[in-house]
Amino acid sequence: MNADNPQTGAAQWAAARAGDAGAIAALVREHQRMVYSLGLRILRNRAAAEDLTQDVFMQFCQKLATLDGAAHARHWLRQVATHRAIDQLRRRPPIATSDDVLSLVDETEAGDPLLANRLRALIGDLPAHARAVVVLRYQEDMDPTEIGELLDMPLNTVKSHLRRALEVLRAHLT
Amino acid sequence: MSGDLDQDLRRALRPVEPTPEFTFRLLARVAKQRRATTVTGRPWLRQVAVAASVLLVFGLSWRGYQHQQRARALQAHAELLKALAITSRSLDQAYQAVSSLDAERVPGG
Repeated sequence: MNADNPQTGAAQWAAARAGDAGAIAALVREHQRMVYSLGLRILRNRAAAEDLTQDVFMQFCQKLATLDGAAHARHWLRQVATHRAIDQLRRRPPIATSDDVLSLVDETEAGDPLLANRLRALIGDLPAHARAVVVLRYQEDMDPTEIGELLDMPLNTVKSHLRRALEVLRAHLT
Repeated sequence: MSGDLDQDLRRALRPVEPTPEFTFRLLARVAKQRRATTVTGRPWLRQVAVAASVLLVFGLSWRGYQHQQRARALQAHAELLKALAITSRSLDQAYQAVSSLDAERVPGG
């Protein structure tokens, strides 16, 4: 879906809601990276992130007619993916296998890949809600108010999770 | 650590693409669900299909019944003709017998 052109985006959104297979596939392609990455960073397990992504998009297709537009769809996907990941983490946390840990190292990424992997491992040790807050803050670039609304969490709790998480990360990195 | 933890975290948590194989599976599953939803989402379509099936079965049964009745009627007709022919022959024989008796009785009279 072309987010740069509002008219094209609106037309494609209308087509997707009308059941056009191509428009729905374009929506999935546009948002799958965000949903999959939320699952991967919160669950730290590739298979679990893939399962979560599939489940979220299955539900998304059923809900399509009730969503108001592309922005609402993005918000809904982000919210459902995060809540599902937190629920799974609290109910039955998946085991981060060595393969999954290795798969999180991106050799092409800018900066120090080992530091990035260390940070991801440390974030993976945070409690479920704190982990989700950090991922939403730095992966999705959301501010604490938006995170609070998405997670239905008071602003001060979001800030507290962020502050404590950063303290833990700094303590382990120095 | 680069000294800017925020920047390091943004780099570490940069969104990643799933594998193309996964994308293919996901799109296939979404398409399959859409097809299923299209059918189940229109209950009238199912009702129309059921009604059409019932009509088709009823129509075929009725046609078969009519065909059977017509065959029976033809058979009955043939049997009736045969019976009439036999009766006609018997009557002819009886008539001839009576006629021959009358002919014998006249000269002696």
